Amino acid sequence: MQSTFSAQFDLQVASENAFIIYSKQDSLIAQNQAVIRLKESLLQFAPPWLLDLVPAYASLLLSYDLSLADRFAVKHYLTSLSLANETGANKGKLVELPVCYGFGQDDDLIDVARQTGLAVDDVISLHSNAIYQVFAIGFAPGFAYLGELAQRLTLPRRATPRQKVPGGAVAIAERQTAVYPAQSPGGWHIIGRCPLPLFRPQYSPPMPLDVGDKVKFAPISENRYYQLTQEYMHEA
Amino acid sequence: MKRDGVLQVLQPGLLSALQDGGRKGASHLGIAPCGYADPYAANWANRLVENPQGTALIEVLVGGFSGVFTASTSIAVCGAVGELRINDRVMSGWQSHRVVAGDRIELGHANNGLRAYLALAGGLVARSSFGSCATNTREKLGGLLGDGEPLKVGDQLVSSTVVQPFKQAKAPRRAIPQYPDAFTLRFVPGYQYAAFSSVEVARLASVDFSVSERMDRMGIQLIGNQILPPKLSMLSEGISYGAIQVPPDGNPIVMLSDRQTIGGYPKLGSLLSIDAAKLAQAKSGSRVSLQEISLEQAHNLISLEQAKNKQLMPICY
Repeated sequence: MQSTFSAQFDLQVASENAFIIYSKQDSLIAQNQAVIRLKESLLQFAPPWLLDLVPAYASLLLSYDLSLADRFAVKHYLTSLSLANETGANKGKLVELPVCYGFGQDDDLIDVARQTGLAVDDVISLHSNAIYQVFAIGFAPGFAYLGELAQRLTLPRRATPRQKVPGGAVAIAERQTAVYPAQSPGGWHIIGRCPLPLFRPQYSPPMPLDVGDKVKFAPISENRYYQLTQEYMHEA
Repeated sequence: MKRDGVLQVLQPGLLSALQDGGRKGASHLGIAPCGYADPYAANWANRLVENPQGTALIEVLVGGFSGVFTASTSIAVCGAVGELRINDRVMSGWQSHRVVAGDRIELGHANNGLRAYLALAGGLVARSSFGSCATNTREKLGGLLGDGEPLKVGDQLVSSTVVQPFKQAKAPRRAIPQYPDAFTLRFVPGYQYAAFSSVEVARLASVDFSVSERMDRMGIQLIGNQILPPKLSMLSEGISYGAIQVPPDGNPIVMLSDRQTIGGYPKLGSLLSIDAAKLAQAKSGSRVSLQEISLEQAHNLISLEQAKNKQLMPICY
């Protein structure tokens, strides 16, 4: 079933040469999928004035080249789009990320278990049994916001962020989980380590994930973690 | 095209780094666009040495940069230009100069404004990440070696030297900005503007702010008067260039070229790009006021600015 752009999205001015488009769907997953589908349509037909598209959660930031089109042309183009209105699955791929839970010194796994009142094994199975949606990529290159985390694992960000979260750290906060692609400051709770490189600028594609993809975490042993780390190091 | 060592860094000063037109089309990877903080001044420097717009050059913060040339070339320094000396002789900014191997360049501290741009004919060559060598230390991208590092003592800069007859050129006086310490910032309302209370919006129009010391290429905080943000539970969303974020502490932050690509604070809209670039030349303590303009006015102003710039040609002699 096709429906109009205006039926599915709200268009708002963001700047002199950008609009921010919000999905009107009623669940976060549906909103994210609608935004991804819109992004794909725009990339497919690639109007010459299109500069940049930043999808995130329920919105899409679109910037356009003012020397090639004015706001009327862009708005007209968008509102004339006839878009499929299905809320089914879209083209996003499923990516499996290996994770060694409770690895290393900077680890909050036991602390998370204590704060949530769960056994460590339950924290691990709640985290690894879910399939997450990549809702957004930002904060740092290759940092993918994955959701939604099981309700029982919900914890606010750490009161005091760490100065140094190691690269590969698998972490949780609120209803989200993520893997830090490189060392950076961070306030999320670290529960494991992923040996897969998540952002390699010299590669194509530079990261294995795209907004709209799905992610599953697969628990691995410490030995397997070291093995995989070696493999990826030699590949680099 | 030959690639030659052309300039050795003696002192980088406070902060000198390679910048160019920026990384385009990589924000979906969480990569900031980066690029010149003040594109107007940077592109004038390029123009005076006949480089295409967006060519890599050195962005100098405040001043204190010195180097020695290891090959002949032409150079120009535009933006907030402190005392410029070539071999101890005082030279003018906003003007091209011929240099030969062995010549020394020293750029002192700017009195007004914040950033100067040193362009060399042929541009600078460096490791490219996502189509640009613009330096981003936080993301470890760009710079001479592609690791996001600013210039250091002893760095050898390479240029793709294009042999061309030296053309003495300078910017007309009208093209050279003043960099005042008090000015108006025009912005287009957008994003969560409608959710701000009318009282706060009225305050915004009637008060002044100071540029805080918390300022860098990512963003500039405005202090002195707080604006109460609406209590919204917001999802992170894309942040445009010049976006005015209002965090819980009420001090607006203008997001610039090295900004995070997405964020979850309420926004009032975005500065006119021309004024965002002006802000990038403002020292801390500068006084600014925010003035709302319509999208239509913004487009008119940009067209006017483009027409004006087209008219301003380098004076060759």
